[in-house]
Amino acid sequence: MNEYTLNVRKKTFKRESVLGFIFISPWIAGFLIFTLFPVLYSLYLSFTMTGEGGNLKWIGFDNYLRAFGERDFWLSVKNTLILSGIGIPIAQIMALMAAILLNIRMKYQGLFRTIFFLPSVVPAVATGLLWKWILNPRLGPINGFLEELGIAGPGWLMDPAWVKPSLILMSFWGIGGTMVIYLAGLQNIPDELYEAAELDGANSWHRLKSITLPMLRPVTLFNTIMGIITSFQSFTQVIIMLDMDGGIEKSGLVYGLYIYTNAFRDFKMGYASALSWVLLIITAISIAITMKFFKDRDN
Amino acid sequence: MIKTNKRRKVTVYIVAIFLSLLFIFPFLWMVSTSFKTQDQIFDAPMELLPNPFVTDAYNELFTETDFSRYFLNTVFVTGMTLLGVLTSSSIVAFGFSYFKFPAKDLIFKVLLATMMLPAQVTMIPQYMLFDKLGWVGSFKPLIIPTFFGGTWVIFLLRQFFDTVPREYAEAAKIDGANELMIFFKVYLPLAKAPVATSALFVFLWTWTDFLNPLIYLHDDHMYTLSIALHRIASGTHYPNWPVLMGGSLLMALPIIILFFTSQKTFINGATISGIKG
Amino acid sequence: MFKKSIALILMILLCTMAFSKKEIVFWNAWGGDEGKVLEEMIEEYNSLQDEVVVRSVFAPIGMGEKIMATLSGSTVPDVITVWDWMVVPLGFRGQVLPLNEMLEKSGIDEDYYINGVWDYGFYEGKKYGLPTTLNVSAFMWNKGAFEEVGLDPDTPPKNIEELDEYTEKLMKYRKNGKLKRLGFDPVISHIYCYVFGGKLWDPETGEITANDTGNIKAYEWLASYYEKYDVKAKRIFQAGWGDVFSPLNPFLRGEVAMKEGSQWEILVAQKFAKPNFDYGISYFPAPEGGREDVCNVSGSFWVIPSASKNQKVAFEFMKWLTAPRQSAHFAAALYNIPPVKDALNDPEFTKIVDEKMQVYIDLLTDGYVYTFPMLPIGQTYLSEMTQALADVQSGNKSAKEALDYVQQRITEELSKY
Repeated sequence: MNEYTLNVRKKTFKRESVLGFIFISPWIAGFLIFTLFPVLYSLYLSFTMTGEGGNLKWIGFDNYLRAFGERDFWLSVKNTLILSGIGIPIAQIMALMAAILLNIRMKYQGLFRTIFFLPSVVPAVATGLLWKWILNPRLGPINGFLEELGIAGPGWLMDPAWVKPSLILMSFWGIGGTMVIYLAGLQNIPDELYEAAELDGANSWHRLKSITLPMLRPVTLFNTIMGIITSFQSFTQVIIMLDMDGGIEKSGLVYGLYIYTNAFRDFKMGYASALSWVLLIITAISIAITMKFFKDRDN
Repeated sequence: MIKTNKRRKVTVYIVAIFLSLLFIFPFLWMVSTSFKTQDQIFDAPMELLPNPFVTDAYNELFTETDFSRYFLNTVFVTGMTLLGVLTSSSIVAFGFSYFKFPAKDLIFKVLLATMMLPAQVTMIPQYMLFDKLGWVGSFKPLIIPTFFGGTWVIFLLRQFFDTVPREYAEAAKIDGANELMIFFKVYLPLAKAPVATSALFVFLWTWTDFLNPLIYLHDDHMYTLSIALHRIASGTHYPNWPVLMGGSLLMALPIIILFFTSQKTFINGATISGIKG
Repeated sequence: MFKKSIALILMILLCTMAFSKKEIVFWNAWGGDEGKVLEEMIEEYNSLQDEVVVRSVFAPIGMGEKIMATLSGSTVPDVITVWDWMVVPLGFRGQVLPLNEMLEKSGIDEDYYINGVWDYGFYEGKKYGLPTTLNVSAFMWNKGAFEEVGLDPDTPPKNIEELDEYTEKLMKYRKNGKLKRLGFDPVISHIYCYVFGGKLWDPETGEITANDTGNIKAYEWLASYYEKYDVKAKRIFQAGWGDVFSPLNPFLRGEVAMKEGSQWEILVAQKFAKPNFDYGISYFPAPEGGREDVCNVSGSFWVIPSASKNQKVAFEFMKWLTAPRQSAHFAAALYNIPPVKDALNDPEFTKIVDEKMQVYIDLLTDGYVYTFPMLPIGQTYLSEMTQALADVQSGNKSAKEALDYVQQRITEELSKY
């Protein structure tokens, strides 16, 4: 490589970098103006506690150390990891399957897709109350149906052992949103690829494995990462279906709920802030692990 | 060959219909409740068909309060948000996808990280910030930040832009296009589906947002539909179920219609014989 | 030209003077019909005087998100509605005003309020808000069920022993062994702490007494109750209970024979009970040496943010809102009880008083009134007590161990402040 080429490369790099920054500058500006302060302030809060008269007392890592000694902290971490660890993979697979199914040209395709999407549009309060009734061990239709079959239905939300399965079951109803994103992803896969594969004699399963899934990788990654981020923080459904303590034996006490009650019910903003930063770290680690998993599968 | 195709078609239909029934049932219950009287909804066993069929809930919703006012407010906030988020996010997403620049990966990771702090704790410092700016009590905190990019949309669009083959841009370059033109003439047209998806979700979230309008608006006449609904349906000891369900349905209607009519952008599906996947 | 400008200036001056009425902002937490009642009252206040215009803003309390956010900023309303447990944390942190001085100047003191209610809202000598209306719990029993099992329908259990006895008699099962009727359903466990002679704190000194011997006895009794009757079966049975405000109300359907009930449940019975349903309200039965007239009170509060620029007029408005006639009128609309003595006799309130409501009123005026301790730590104490009971019920800890733990935890928490 001669000096001339090197200079040209440096120049293009410089130009590209500048342009890149210009294009992302709206976000950077927004970050600096609107996001940086709340983020740093919550970090600062995590090292304080509010005393008499509203004075903030610096207490160092006390909030963090305290969390590690709290029974409810570990319980909420465990509950959240279990719910997410089981719920997310299943939801992703279901959403993908639904997207593939509803991508097939058929009559009323639009209608079917809309019906699948409907639950995501219904407000959380209505959904929660609805499912509370559906899963009602005595009056709900599910146990009613099981009874017809001669099976004694479980206690669902009233039985600590069944609370998590109930929550996971309920989350499946909301896969319509994820499905729509997969649908969008499927649109970008050129038909020619499939036609070529068919000509080569590939069957449906093979086409799925070697064309659809790899081409959907960026979308799958998006859905999984967003799934992790949102499910780690969610808690409103739990409040509606159970209560503010996470139900019987706190079986539904999720991390998001733990933060919420500490912040607003117990007025412990400093502690809640520390919990939030711990969540950030846990989320980042989980995502890093997930991305590694994706990369390995890539190879 | 034809026989298996027909069988396939039938199976697909059966599965779709069965699942649809599961998915639509709770929604039907909501519709049914909205047309009942407050006393009737407690009938046991639960009747799906309202008897008598009344539109009390809807009458109440439309006549009780400044419904048109709240509706306009919500339209305004949602419309501006859509404009702000879609325009800024697509530009930023393109920036992250197309260009190479120092610390790009790190900056993007920071972008993702901003989504990992739950709103429970960032809510109050954010309010303090807007208070210092003097924006509290107006629509500004709800709208202006959207013009600086929405992280969810940026992430989604970036993933899509990453799949656009570089050759298309190269070809455009040869024709003399600069980066901005590449963005508008090459990338954006190819991103119809993800942009439509983003619009759908942003619409959904903004339209039904309860907490942000509640916190930043200080005047009854500026409130949005979600707050108005809460106000009409709430009572100290019990909520007004038909009104709550009817109101929730009305709020969901624009989004449902939007999705249903935007199916064109989502239709690139193959025919039955060449099922995708 | 000159005359015209003078006229213009004078007009502008007059206009600004006319509009120089102070405006204060009131956060109305009530929606629906109840919210309208309050708004009508505000209109009345505005027309009654010329000094102030009260502007009402709908502000549901929820968990205080809107309140906490706004109080962290510079533009605050002048009167806010909050839950009772929020009053002291906000006051302690200096976000709402102590009202002692203004109350004294207005001549409002203990006598103005129903006996025992004055302490409500106090912490370390400062009173941070005024109660809006009161919710009171009493003991309810199903007369028809009593008759069915051979008990005198007009005589509720007189003491704990009888309560246990009656509970046993009233438990009913289906042929397949599932529950058909629960004899008794204790929910507000701290009521029984007081019933057994214990207490949660000393309101005078502010000392926490979680492991008071009375509390321990109460928890032991509660746990034994759950031991005797299968907790799991009970939970599943209870899952089938409808909302309180509905015809599926378990008490009205005979699914539970004895339970705690608030005064507004009278309204529920009026609306949804079958015509031959008869029930009674009385005081809580107590053990030997316990308290026979325990009255648990809860409710919402009106407070004034410290950053309000119109504190005096805000207080005047609050005073009017909680004056006997207004208090009676508003409480009646909510089917709650006004906290102010004279309101009890006001016709606005007496129009909803029947013999059942009278029991609640008597309990309130003559009984041992207590409210859950209002502390700077919000509801932490309550959630610790709930967890303690769960631990005792599941057999993980003895009542003494569980309550000792709560004592230690809460005192430790409070010491940080």
